[in-house]
Amino acid sequence: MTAEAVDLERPATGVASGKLGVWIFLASEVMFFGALVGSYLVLRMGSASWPLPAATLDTTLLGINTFVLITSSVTMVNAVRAAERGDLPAMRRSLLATILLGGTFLGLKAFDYAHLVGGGITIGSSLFGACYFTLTGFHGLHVLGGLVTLVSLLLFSRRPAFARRIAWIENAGLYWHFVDVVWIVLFAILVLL
Amino acid sequence: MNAATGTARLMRPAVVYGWLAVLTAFELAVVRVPLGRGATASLLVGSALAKAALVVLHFMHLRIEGRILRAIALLPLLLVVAFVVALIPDIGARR
Repeated sequence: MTAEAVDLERPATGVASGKLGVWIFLASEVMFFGALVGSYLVLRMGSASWPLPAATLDTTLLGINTFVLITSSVTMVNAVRAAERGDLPAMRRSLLATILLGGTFLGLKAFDYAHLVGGGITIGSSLFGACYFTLTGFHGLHVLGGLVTLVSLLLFSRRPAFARRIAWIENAGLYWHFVDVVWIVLFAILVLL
Repeated sequence: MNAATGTARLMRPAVVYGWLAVLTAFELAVVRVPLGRGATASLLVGSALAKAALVVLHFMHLRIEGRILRAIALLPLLLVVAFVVALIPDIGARR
């Protein structure tokens, strides 16, 4: 059974309801992170001094983490494509790879946090610490939410009813790619700049 | 749009991944070269926007989606830009 057979495009919009809902949700997420990033820019540009991130953060570690997350986006694309052609074993393998890469991202992020806290930088120690932990913390929570979703889908894919819910993989993929995009922006303006 | 025709307009995932990896390596190199604050910021923001566009257009398929989804994606971005522009006087006030 194809995805189109179970998640029909609506005549009024030309878009399946599930996908439309996810895009509207992502639009609200853009405004959420947009508000956080906007506030960060005001605080940073309005400050007389700001610590050089490259001197404070482990940019190599965070660069590796960026490679991990963009790799997970590719494995997610592979999972969606496998689901669309009905190759469930390949979909499960790609989904598992995405979950492992997402878990690795959070593990390295925890290591980064421990390194910062050990060096005296916490959410309450400075404006830089407040911005860094708030922005990356909310992003990390979104990665965690994505992982819970992907693990749930991986487990659910073992059930026969999953054949009618193939479109859920594409919708989960949209969310996962969005989380990747947020990190791409944060990596440039918060970690490197 | 016909699914096969639409998918043909998307870059292959391996190609997109290659560009994302190259741009990330470029960003890591840029911060290690003394270019000046303005030039570094421009290069980093430009690279980040290019990477974000690659993911949104080719991984999230916005390149082949219809007008409704494109509008849903674009509208909040415009609101965020308006929000940041509206905050510019605050930046001046804090200095």
